[in-house]
Amino acid sequence: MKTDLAIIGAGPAGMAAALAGQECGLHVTVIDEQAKPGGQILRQPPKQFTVTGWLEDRVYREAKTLLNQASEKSAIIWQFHSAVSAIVSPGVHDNFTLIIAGQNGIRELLAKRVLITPGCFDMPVLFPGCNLPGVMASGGIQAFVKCQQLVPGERFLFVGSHPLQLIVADQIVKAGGKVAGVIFAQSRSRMLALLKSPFTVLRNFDKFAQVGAAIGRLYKAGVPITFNQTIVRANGEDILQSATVAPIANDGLIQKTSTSDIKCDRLGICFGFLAATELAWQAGVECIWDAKRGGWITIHDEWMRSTVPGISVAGEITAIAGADVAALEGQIAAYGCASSLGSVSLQQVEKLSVLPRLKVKRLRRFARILTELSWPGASLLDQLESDSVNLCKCEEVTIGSFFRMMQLNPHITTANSAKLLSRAGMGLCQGRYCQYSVTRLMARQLGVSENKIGAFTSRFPAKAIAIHDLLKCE
Amino acid sequence: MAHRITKNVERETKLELTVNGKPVCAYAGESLATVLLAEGITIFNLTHSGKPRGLYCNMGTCFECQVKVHYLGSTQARWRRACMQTVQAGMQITTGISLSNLQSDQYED
Repeated sequence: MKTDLAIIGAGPAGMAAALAGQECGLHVTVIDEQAKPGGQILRQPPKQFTVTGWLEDRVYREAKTLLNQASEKSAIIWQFHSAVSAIVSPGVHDNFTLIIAGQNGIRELLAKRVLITPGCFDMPVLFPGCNLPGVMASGGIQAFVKCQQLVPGERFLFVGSHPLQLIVADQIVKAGGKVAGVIFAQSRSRMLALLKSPFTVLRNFDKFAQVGAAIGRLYKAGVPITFNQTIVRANGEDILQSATVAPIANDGLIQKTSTSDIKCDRLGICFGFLAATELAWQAGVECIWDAKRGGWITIHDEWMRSTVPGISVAGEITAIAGADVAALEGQIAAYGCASSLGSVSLQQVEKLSVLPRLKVKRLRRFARILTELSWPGASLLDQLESDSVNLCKCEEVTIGSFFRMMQLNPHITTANSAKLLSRAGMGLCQGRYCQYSVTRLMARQLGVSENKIGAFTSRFPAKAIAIHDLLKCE
Repeated sequence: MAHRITKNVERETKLELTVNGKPVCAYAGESLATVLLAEGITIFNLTHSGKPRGLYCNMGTCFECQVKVHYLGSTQARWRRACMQTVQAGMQITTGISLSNLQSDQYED
């Protein structure tokens, strides 16, 4: 199969890019691992479900409009249940080859241009008990409610530093679940700093209104929202039974002597998001480290072109900024691809991108404030670390053993060499859940910048695939 | 325990499958993770060192939710991410198995 523009990811960035690319006369193919378009923000219920009043909040309106427009465009080719395992750069041919793992094996797609829009995932935070069954990413909890129409537990506790946890807690209460509390590491005044600029509030009114309404409903439902507190431990023999929380003093230190236990069977972790850059790395795209905006994020020019000619990037992998920014970046990226392929003139796309560019600039400002305020801070992450906690959950490499490896091997100064010696990052998740911590921890111990530590080498297949499936061709 | 939201939700067809040998009813379109949580199962597999694990991300990135799945008509069971796999009638799901267990269980056609 052949296409002009292959878009990896059917979230807001991918959908907007598909529409814009198609309008410019490109043959567009969108590939996504899920069953339907929408990405994580609009994880749709299965086609066999009928859900009345699905995601009615105003905040989803723009994304839903985009979803409807994209779904109705018959010229867009969608490839669902499909994960891109690798992007192979053109050799003697003009095209990129995408190796795609589908439900029935492997297939190839040839593309003149590739746009990577894989989005992000919940940032994992290491603390004792964090691997206990029952501890979940808040985004994962939310996806159950949005998509599967399931309340995935009985008694929920949310801990973190990102305001999203208020939205998820509210959705759980609405769906008939019990929420024992929502706990923020920051002070109340730090969170309220978001409201300081009246312009920011007015320009992002829907978002503030959504959070405000959620707080109101949680308050009415008797759900305590606390500040200056953190998770220190998840407890339970084989499954989660309670969470131990502790106050954080004004100097940022966790008061480990005055802890309290809260009963829960689901603990939602909500400390922000990491950019899903592994496919970009595999394709040779250059990334930089930004601890607050997604860990490793891609570099791009004004047309969202990455450092690899022919490959563009858009959405969360360029820095966590939410669905609105992602959609606009996707649109601009598609215009860039269309003009480079000659289907429209540069003047035309420049005209078309004036408004999207203005909007991105404005929205990015808010996103920057939000990521700044919702980052838990290095001090908190450092204090939660404990020798017996798994740094790499897949290969069960503890923080303690990783430190010993570093002490015994002072020549190990990159994430990649540390991976080879310690096995951290060699498991099934391929380092997605330990890379952030490994990079941060090594940079701190060695007193160098994270960019010096570097990322794990990302190779085919970018997502683990069974040999059985690899041997089959679709 | 987890529960299905019934207000404003209509589900179509019911399917039959087994979870750890026990017959279970599920709805078409549900993920294995949904079915397992609704059945009160929290431990999905065991790590190489025998530690229990359950699902974490529910979006296919963490690989914590792997369970053994035997499809109707197949001779072998496969490891599958419970959050990414949709239920099919006649599936046999086994939870709580060690990820080190690479032996392929033989099933009759």
